[in-house]
Formats: sequence, structure tokens, C-alpha cells
Amino acid sequence: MPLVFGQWTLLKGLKVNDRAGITHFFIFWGGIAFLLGYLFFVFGPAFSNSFAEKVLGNNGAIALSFAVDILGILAFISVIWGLIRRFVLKPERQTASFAWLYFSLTIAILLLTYFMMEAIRLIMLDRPTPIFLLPIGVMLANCLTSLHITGNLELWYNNIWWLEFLVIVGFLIHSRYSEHMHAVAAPINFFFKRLEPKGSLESIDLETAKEFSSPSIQNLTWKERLDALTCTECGRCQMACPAYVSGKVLNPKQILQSMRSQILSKESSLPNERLSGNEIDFGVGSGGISEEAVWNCTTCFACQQECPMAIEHVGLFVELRRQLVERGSVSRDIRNTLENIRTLGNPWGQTQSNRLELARQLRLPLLQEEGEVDFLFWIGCLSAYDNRARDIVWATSSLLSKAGIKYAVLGSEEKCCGDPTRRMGEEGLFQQIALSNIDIFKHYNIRRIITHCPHCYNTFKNEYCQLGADLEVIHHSEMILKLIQEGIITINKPLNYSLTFHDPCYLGRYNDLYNLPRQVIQANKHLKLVEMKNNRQSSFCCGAGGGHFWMTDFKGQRIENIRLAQALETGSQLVATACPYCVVMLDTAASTMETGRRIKVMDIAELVNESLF
Amino acid sequence: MKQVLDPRSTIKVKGGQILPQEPTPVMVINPRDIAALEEGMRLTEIFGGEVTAISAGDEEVKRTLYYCLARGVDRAIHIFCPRSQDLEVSPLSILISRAIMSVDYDLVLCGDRSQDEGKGLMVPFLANLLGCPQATKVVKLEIIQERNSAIIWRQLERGRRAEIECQLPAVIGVDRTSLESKYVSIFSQRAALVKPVQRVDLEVGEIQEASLHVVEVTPPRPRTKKTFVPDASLSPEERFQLLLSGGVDNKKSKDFIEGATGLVAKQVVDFLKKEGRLPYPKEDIV
Repeated sequence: MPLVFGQWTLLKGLKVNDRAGITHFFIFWGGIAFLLGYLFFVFGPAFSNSFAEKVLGNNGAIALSFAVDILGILAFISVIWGLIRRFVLKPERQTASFAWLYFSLTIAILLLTYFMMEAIRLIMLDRPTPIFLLPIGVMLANCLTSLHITGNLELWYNNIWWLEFLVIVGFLIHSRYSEHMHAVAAPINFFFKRLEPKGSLESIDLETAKEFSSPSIQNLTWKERLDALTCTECGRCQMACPAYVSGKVLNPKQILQSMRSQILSKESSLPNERLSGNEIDFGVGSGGISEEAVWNCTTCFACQQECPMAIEHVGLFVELRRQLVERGSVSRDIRNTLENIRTLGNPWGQTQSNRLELARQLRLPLLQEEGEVDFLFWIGCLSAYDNRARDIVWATSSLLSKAGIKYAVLGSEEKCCGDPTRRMGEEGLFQQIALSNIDIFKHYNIRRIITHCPHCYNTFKNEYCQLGADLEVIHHSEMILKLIQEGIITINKPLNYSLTFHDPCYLGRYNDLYNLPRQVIQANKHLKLVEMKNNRQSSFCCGAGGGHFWMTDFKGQRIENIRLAQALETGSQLVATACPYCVVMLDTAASTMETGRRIKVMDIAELVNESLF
Repeated sequence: MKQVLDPRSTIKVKGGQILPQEPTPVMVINPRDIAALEEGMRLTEIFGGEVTAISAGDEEVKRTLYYCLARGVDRAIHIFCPRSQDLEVSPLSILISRAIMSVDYDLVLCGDRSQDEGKGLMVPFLANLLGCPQATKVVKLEIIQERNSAIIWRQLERGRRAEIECQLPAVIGVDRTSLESKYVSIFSQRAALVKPVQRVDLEVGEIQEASLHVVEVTPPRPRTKKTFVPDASLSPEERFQLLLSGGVDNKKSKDFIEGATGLVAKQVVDFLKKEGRLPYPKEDIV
């Protein structure tokens, strides 16, 4: 109810430079008031003169007509402002389309004709009405009277009645094929919003799944199709999308627009020959979705977070990727990554024994040697093979050891958790890996896992349960904070840095852990935390998610460079984060950007480890 | 289609045998065989027809055949021989040629050589047994349907290419292809498990000697190692010093920097500044 009637999803996203949510609020309530007013005072009286009074009573009718006047004029002003905004100010996220011009003019005409009929009714009734009860109607009636337009009012009234009726009918027909269908589709979409953890993707039962060798609208679920029909083209997803902002091909708004036009197309049963080879042929309508756009998504969840219509973009993109993977339409990078994971258990294509070597080098306790332990410390593929990320493993393990926690690692038995495979659309491989990992957990009787990688954290916490795992997963920020709060670890070395915190997408937006890492940072009172403009829910991706760490992007700017520039704007000496992917990406940006030398990138575990004597 | 050990997996070898260890070594399809498969699939997309995948070995190689079925081949033949790795190329080629002769064929495509032993003998052996022309080290292939022939580009030394035309049927050893091998998903591979794989049981004892056979495979001749010999005209002391240094002239270069680390670093930065190799303003360098 608050989502639809309170317009909460729009109002919560209000920004100083973007107040379009307020105008929508007034148009929504003005529209509802108009519909009721039309029904009771315009359409109803065509059959019975005192229809409103009979149904609502005298007071009810007066209250309703007052509400229509107030909300109607607010909606009218909002529509005019919307027109100015779209066609004069032209913000990037909104399109000045014919459909919107038609919509605005229709609303304006409907409200004007309603007020005109109200004024004519007042003149014909010749009954004195206080201006505070019907401010617009009385004012218009006074205008008409002063202009001496009082003759043949009944004919005027009938003409305007028919004009309004025809405009309404035309609008209803047009809405069926435009984004204004959201007025009907949005409440349904809110009602059927997924209740599973938002960090999880829809699982497929491989035993019963139908073969989907060619992508088509028919292969999308009804919910995905409903999502496409619900889109209002507000463009919030577009402005939040790191791929779009960095100048890549992906525009989530356009993808949904394209899908809707294809779903609604009359040619749905005809083969489409107008698409070029690198576009997803949905077999319908004009225009397709480029494969490149589908692969540009970093699954950062920003679009979904911003969307006021509860559209599930990420699930949709992954579904499109699944179809492309089934068709074999993947780039060499993606194919190599998936095949490396399938054959060697890691995306790098390196031998598993390197994981054992890492454990030996860092003197990490091995589960095979330790036997029963309290926690499994999951290292993850990036940290196992990347030299920069290995520092985070060392820092985290040092903290765990100093705190006397009984933990161990799997060594060469650890494999990829499956996050990149699932986000790249290879559901079968994800399930294969996940089931194999679950078997290992069962074999060693592992129930509790600590990991410093939010991608592994999200997969274990939200997705392994789909395959029957029962695990307690703890992110290292949670564990470190607990150790600090319980006094097991004492921060005793002042670090005089001014620093900013980069929220990893898979920790923040996926799992709503915004405060934990900040509390860990603030445990060292000497550190001065300065927030970036894009923080918490509106954090900007580092560009590594969705398997992008292993893909090559040539188009547009580097996403990590944009994020590091945002960090540099704060004037901080250090950017802290809580994800090895973000650390490596931002560290790379710092080493390649000219201004990047001014800032240091650290994981919170490294920061805390440095804060100890 | 041959299975080979993934060169990236860790193995331990003792007495010519791979020792089982954790993690287990990974078997993958010979990359040149995959290139041949992709080339075959490309040709059937253009000219129609069917592709049959053949592999010899124990139950394990069925995984390869299921991969081929998932990739889109029409038929798969499994020549069951439990000791395929012990077989010489000669009897193995006889087994494979019999399987080939059991189907109608226009073209036999296989990897030019395997990634493990790399003998490259299967193509000539098969051509001999099937009585048709052969080409090895093929990097590009076009079919001329009207003349029932194939235009073949062979890779020669130093990047040269030989373009030849041969009549079909022929045995082609594909070295590489410009085609990207298509990703075959786990879902497709699972779906292929229900497709039939024709099993052929042949006793190795039945195999007669081929007209070609391998007499011996010898290891490569060790390369001669260049040894430094000092100039005989030098004094004994100089010759002795040169022998100790392994032939490196011990004279100091004029750009050689030595000293304390801080001083060395400063001199390196000064040098880079002088050469204009630093992308940042000079005043930013600390």
C-alpha cells in the first residue's frame, strides 16, 4: 500500500536536483481524484441527475468535489511542469517522447474540460457556492459570467462531455501500447515482487528445465514480461547504471523498452529478419537487444535499487545471459573463464595446488590437518591467486589468529563458489560446483564460514540454500567488529588518515550491510571518515561484478577509474573497502590514473591489522 | 577425438606412470581435435550433411563423445578398447579406420597432432588405410562442391602458407582454425546424455599389421651447450678471472649506479627526469 498509494519508491529517491517524484505524486492522486470526480459528477449524472448525492450523500459529494478541485489543479500544474522539464530542460534520464507529450496533453485536456463542466454546472444551477468549497469551479464560473458566456450552456456542456469521453477512450486505447500501462501493471508487479533474498537469482531445476536453445520472449517468465510492461521509462536505472555512465552499450531503460515493444508487437508469431547477427532475436517486433549490452551488465543492482516500479533488472539480464550461454554465444574471455572453472575449479585457469601453496606460505591451518574447527575460512578465487588480494587473506587470517579463533582453510580442496558462473548465465555449472562444495562441507561437517569476499558471502548465504545447504555465513567485517566490540582485539595504534569508504555492491545493495564496515573503521578514533557523493544504496560499482573481472572492456571509460575519481573528490588519503574485487579494481585504477597516486586502497581487515601494535 | 591431460593440472609421474594425487589431473579434449570439430560443424552449416564423432578408449572417453553430441554432431561412435593408451598408433588407426568405413563419408577431419605426445601420425596412417589423399598442418579449408574437392591452406615454416587442392574424400589434419570454439553449456551436455552413442567392441588381437608401422620413437638429440672459452692470448690471471665470471665482462658501465638504496633511488629518479620518461610533473616526485 505505501508503495502504490504512498508513492514511497518515488519519494524516497528524491534528490536536490531531481524532484520529479513530487510531480508524479500529485499526478497520481490528481488522476485518482479526477477518475472519481468524473464517475460521480460527469459520467453518472448522464444517467441520473443526483447520482453523486445518492451514492455519497451531500457531505461526501461536497468533500469529493473539493478534493478533485485541489488535487486536480496540483496535477495540472505538475503536468505542465513535466512538459517543461521534458521538452525544455531535457534531463538526460528522461526522453521527450511523443507518448509523453500525448499523455501530458491528455491529462491537461481532461482536467480542463472537467473544470469547465464544473463551472457550467454551477452557472446552470445558479446556486451560490463558497469559493473555498470549489475554488477552481467557482473561479472559472465567475470568469465565464464576467465574459458574458452564459448563453446555450447546455449545448456547450454536452459538447465538452463528449469531447472528454472521447479523449478518455482514446487514452485508454493508447495506454495499452505505451509506458502508461504501468498504471495497471505496477500494482500487480509490486504484489508479485520476489520474496526470496534479493541477492539470490532464480534457480532452475535442470532435471525438468525445458530446452531453450534460442532466446525468445516465450522463454522469459511471465514475471520478466510483466517487468518489461511495468517500465515507465523514468530513466532512473539508466543514470545509476555504471555501464551506461561509463559510455558502454548497455542502457537498462532501452532494453526494457525494446522488450516491451517486442512483447506488444503484432508480429509476435513472425520470424524477424531485421535483426543483425549480434542481436538477441526474440523473433518479434522491430529492433533487438544487442548481446554486448547484455554482457556489459556488472550485476551491481543499482538499477534495481533505483527503480520505483520494483522491476528486477538483474534477474532479467542474467536470464538473457543464460539463453546466450545455451546458444553458445559467448566471447572468448567468458568461454575461457567458464571452462577454467569447469576443468580446474577457478576462473584463472591455474592449478588448484596453488591454493595449497598459499596456505603453506601464509601458514594457514589446513582443515585436513586440523580436524574439527569452529569456522571455515573461505579464501575465494581472487584472493587465492591475485597477489594484491592475498594481502587481505594475510590480514584477515592474522586477525583471526590473534583473536584465537579456531579456523582452517580447505587448501587445494577449495573451488570457485560459483558466483561468476551464475552471473555469467551458466546455471548448470553453478549447480554442479555448488553441489560439489556442499558435499565437501558435509564431509568436513562445516556449518560456519567466514569469508572476506562479499561475492562468496552472498552466494553461500543466499544461493546455496536453494540447493539444500544450511550454512551460517559471516563476512569478515562482521567478525572483526564483534572482536573489537568484545575487546578481543584492541585498536591501539593511531592512524591519522582521512579516508572514504567504498560500499561493495554485493555487501551493500545485495545484503544491506552498510554500517558494519563503517563501524569497523570508526573503531579507530583517529581515522576521519568522509563519505563519497555516491555512498550506501547509491554506491557506484567498481566494475568487477557479474564476471566482469575476467572480461575485457574496450568501450567507454573504465568503471573503476570513475569510482576512484569519486573517491579522490573527497580529498581523502585512503579509500577503504570490504571486498577483494573492489580492492584490486580500485588499486589498478590508482596505479593507472595520474591522480591515483594520491590515494591508497585498503581492505578494512588490512586497516584494522595496521591499527594493532 | 582424443582426450589428453590438461597441461595446467598438477601431476606426479613415477616410472612413466601418472600417480594419483589430490587434486586429480584433469582430462580435456585435444584442442586441435576441437578445432577439427568446429571446422566440421561449419562445413555442415554451409553444405548440409552429417557429422560423426569417433573416439577410442575406455568408458571415460564417452564424456568427450557426449560433449560432441552437445555441440551438435549427429552421431557418435565409441570404439571401446580399455587399453587405448597402450596401443601404438598403427593398431589404433586400424580401429578408427574401420569405424570410419562403417559410415558414408566425404571428409575425415582430425587434429593434426595431440597435445600430449604430438606424434602427428594419425593423419597419414588413416589416409593410408582409407586409400585417400591427406593434408597435415591445415589452417584453412574451403570446399569446392562442383569439383568435389577441397582447397587447403597448409602452414609452412616461417609463416608461409601452401594452398593446395585435393580430391574428396580426404583426411585432413587441422592444426588450428580461425573459428572460435563454441561454448557448450553443462545443461546442453546433460541433455546430450540421453542421445545414443554407438559402441564398437573390437579385439586388438584381431588387428592385422598395417602397411605403415612405427619402428622406433627416439628422444631428441641433446642440444649442444655453448661453453665460454677464454682467449688464449690473454694472461693466465685474466683468463682465470674470465672463467670465474662465466665470460661476462666485469668492466663497469658508465651508467651503472651503486651505493645506498636511497641514493640509488634518487639517481634513478634523476635519470628518468633527465630522460623525460616520467608522466607526472617533476615537482610531484618526492
